[in-house]
Parts: sequence; structure tokens; C-alpha cells
Amino acid sequence: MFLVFFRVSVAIFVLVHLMAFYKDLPYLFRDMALLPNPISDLFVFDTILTHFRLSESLGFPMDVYLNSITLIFLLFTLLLAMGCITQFSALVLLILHIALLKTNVFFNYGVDYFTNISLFFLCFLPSNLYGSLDAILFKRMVLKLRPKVDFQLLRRLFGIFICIAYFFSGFDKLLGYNWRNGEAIWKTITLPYFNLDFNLGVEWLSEHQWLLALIGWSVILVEMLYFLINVKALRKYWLATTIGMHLGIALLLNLYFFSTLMIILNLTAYYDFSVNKSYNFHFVKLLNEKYASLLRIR
Amino acid sequence: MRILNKIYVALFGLIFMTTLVVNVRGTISSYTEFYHTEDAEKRKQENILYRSLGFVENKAVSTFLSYTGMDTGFGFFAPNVASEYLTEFTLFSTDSTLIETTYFPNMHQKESVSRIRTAYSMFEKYMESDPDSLEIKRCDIFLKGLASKVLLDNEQAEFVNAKVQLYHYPTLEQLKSNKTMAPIYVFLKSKNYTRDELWENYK
Repeated sequence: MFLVFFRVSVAIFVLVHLMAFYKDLPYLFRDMALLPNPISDLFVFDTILTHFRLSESLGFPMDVYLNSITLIFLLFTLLLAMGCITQFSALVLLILHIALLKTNVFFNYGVDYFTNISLFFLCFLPSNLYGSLDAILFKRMVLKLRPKVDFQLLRRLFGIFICIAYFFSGFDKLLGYNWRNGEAIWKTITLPYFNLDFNLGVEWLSEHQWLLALIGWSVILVEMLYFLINVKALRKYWLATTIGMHLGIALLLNLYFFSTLMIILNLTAYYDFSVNKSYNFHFVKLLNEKYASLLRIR
Repeated sequence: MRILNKIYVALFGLIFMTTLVVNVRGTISSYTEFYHTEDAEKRKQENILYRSLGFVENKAVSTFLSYTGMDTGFGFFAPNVASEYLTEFTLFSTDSTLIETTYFPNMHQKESVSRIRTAYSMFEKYMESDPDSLEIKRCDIFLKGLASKVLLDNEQAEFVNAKVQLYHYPTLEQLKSNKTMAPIYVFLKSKNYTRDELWENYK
């Protein structure tokens, strides 16, 4: 179940994320790029495929080329979401995504790296053994494979990766004295391009440095000690706190896509999907009983 | 353990190894650059661990890392939150009448603003002394690109003045001694671009 959730949510995420800057593609990655592609190209290894290099070698104008690539990209996100030729679709998306980002490396940020990592995982994880078109199209092969895959092992390995990522994120913050005394949090929330959407009043926080230091230390501890999420008794609370932290990032720093992807990764690794299922079932049962009693009264 | 699961364990093992290597190097690098700005490069090269993990800079390894998305560490906003650079574009008509002042090119979508803003970090190079360095030339080209967008979006404007400033909001320490301290704008670069000059780009 966790792999189906991961596949579908990453596919939807990639699609929505592309749509979120599609109208400005000419100024980011095409011939009208604010930092021209030939300049950015100087900073990319010649072994890496970029759309700029491909369009040049094929002799297509960049706008025609990128429009066609966008269509292919859309097609493969749909295929990935439906679980059709899943691993191949993920591989095509990974190559197209990296080729786009490397076309102008200066316009990339955190979310792009995690998108690449997610697509890379989908290239080899068996996310198509359940809830996919592949499971229908290649029924015999899928039925053969299902008992051979240890899904719990895969989930643990996936979780270890997330733990390593959070550990370094927290450890690097711990090294900065500004994170320990609250200055980093203060600086982040007062940067001119952050906190624009909701324009939350944060000036009052300067009067309470202890609170900013507390938030700084909380972020460090939640991230560095994220591996404690593997303790069953703590899992629910640690997951809720981490998701809360990412919602906070979305609210204050307006980094919606980054936060969404991190929440997807957290849920994939540690959310207990079976609990949710039984909860829904229980809820439906309660509703049925209520309606049944209402009908009986009538 | 079945062979298929062994393959998954091996794959994840490789991912863990590369993640650890890239992040340890990233941590050493960002720590040194933050606390020893003056001689960061020298100190990094003297660090045995940093040097011994230098194989990740090998072209083949680096390409593999790029294709897995693991070519960067996870120390976002650390060890210090980077400063922001601000741009200011003042548009003038042919007779030098001020038409409009804007701080960012007009983009269709918000996510594009986030992406372009990421590239603003390159303006840090304007604080370096060598005006002929490739990095400074790259900054000049980017500033010209931003100015082009602003100028060509306004039909009445004939030329634009583009200014880059470092934004410094008072720290908590500074606010302790002066509660009313205003943000500081450190001037870094200013340049005029005319419409004719910018159209040259598109010819």
C-alpha cells in the first residue's frame, strides 16, 4: 500500500509542480531564459544530458522542442500514476526531469533534488505490484513476484534513507551557532521574499529570543533524532511533529512544493496505512449502525 | 533471503553509502566556509576526510549522483541561513522621466519567482574584489537578463536602471541595543540598460 501511495502521489506531485512554472518556461529554460542557457551550460558536466544540448544537437528550436518534451512528460506522469509500464515511466520522467533542471542549474532548489530522488526510487521499487495497470496487464508475472518481495524490508530501507537525510539536515544546523541561539529562525522569517503570502506578523518574536532559540533547537532535535521514529511508541508523535514542521515551513516560508514532497516521503516511510483503513472501516460501520437505527425508528 | 530482496538491499546499500559520502563532504565544506571564510579552500584540502572522499568529484561518479538526485547534501539553511539579495529596477522614458520602480521581473507563476530567487544567491560574487572573474561576468549577464524582462514588459520605458543590494535585517543582538533599528541595504551593483542595447540580445 505504501508503495502505491508513493507512486501515485509522486506522479501527481511532479505533474502539478511542472504546471506551477509551465507558463514561465521561456524565461527559465528556453531561449528567453533570464540567465541564457549557453552560460548555464558551462557549469554542467559534458556527460549529462540537458534539453538545451539535445535541442542543439537535433537542430530543433528550443521552444518547439520543449513543447514536445512537455507533452511526453505529461504522458509519462499519467502512465506512472496509473502504474502502466511503471519502472520505465519513472526512468523516462527521471531523465526528462534531470535534463530540464540541468538546462539551467541556477534555477534549481531543494525540492528538485528530492523529486529526482523520488523518481529514482520509483525506477527500481516494485510500486506496480498492487493497484496498477501493470498488475492487470502482466497479471501472471505480478502474481509470481508478489510473494517474493519483502515489502516490510523495503519500507525499512526507505525509512533508513529518510533518517539519514534528516540526520544531516539537523546536524548541519547544530553546527551553526545561529541555529542554537535563535538568530537563524529570526533571519529566516524576516527574509524579504519569505512570509509573503500570509504576511504573518512576526516582529513581536524579537522580544522573546528564548522562544526563537527553542524553535531552533526543536528543529535541530526533530531532524537529528528523527531515527527515533522507528520506536513504535514514538512513531505517531514523531511523524505528526515532522509533518507539523513542514506545514510550518509551508506557512512561513511559502515553500509549498518542498513541504508537500517531504510530507509525501514521511508518509510513505512511516504512516500506518492499515490503521487508516481500519479507521475508515470502523467509521463506515458506525455510520451504517446510525442510519440503521434511524431507519428502525422511522 | 530471496535473490530479489538481496538486490534491493544491495541497491539501498549503495544509496546509503553515496548519501553518507556526499553529506559528510557537504557538512565539512559548509562548516569550513562558514567559520573560516578567509582560507576555507585551503582548510578543506588539508582535511584528510574531505580529501579522501574527493572521489565524488570524479566525472563518472558525479554523473551517477546527478542521475540519482543525490549530488547535493541535505543541509538546507545550514549551518547559517544565507542572506538575500534584492534587485531594484527603475524604468525611465526617453526624456529620463521616472515611469516606475519595481523589485522583481513580472512572472506569470509564483513558483517561477522561487526558482529565479534561488539564482539571486550568485550575486554574492559582487562582494569579491576581482571584477574580471567569470562568476562576476555571469552575475552581469543574469542582471542584464532580469533588466531585459522588466524593460521589455513596459512599452513606454526607454531605459532601465538595475540595482543589486544585500539585504540585512537587524539581528536579535542588534535589536537588543537598538529596538528601532531599520534594515540595512548594502549597495553592490548598479547599471543602466537601454532598449536598443537589450534588443541586441534577441537578434
